Amino acid sequence: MTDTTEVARYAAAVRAALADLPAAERESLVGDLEQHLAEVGAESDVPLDTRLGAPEAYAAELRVAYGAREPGKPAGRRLYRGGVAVIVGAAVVGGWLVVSKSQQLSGGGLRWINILMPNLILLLLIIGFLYYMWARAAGRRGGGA
Amino acid sequence: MDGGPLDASQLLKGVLDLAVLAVLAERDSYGYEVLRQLRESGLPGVGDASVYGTLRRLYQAGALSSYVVPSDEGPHRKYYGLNDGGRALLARSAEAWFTVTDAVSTLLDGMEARR
Repeated sequence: MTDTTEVARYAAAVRAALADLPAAERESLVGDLEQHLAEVGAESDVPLDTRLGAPEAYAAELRVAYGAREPGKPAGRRLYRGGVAVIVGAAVVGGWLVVSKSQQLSGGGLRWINILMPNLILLLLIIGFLYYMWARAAGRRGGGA
Repeated sequence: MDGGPLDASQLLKGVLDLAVLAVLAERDSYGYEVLRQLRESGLPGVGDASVYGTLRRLYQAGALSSYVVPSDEGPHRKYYGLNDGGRALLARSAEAWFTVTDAVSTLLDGMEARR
């Protein structure tokens, strides 16, 4: 039977090789890895490295089986999408502020902006929504679930 | 595709979910036992990480339930079993599997017959 320090060492090395994954994704993937490796270890005295290969190779195989992102692919893709969504949101709020401000200042005098801005905001909202739907679909494809 | 011949490990990648679900349909099982059963079924090339990763993914997808069985001698074991979602997934996947394998078998049989 493989001892617990050996299991802990191997599990730590696998986790380290998956360090680029978001914490939540990594936890859902290797949350009970120690328990699983202890089950494997209980079957034989042969070291885990010999039976399962190097922890890095084990981590790579896990990634494929779980459908997680490969290392090296931009970790910021989801962040990038989130960032654009924030910018779109900020533009909508900013636009609304400009309109309410201009109405206060001009007392309705700048009529063109009063007509234009609500439409612009609506357009931004639609773009933002479509973008969100696309990012979600792309994220699901990228996640490979 | 690199144009090389299909080998069993390549084919298996696509159907490991189905194989794992089929093992669990027999009875609830833990990671290492699933691996052993797959190997005994004639799939010696399956890796432990592939099975463990597949179990975790199916569990996260809501297809499996899980519970821990304490043991006095060895480590506690985490058992996985099919829930209703898993049984439905297995039924749908098996249907797709038979559709594809029937068609490919028919094509290959035709090729054999013409030889």
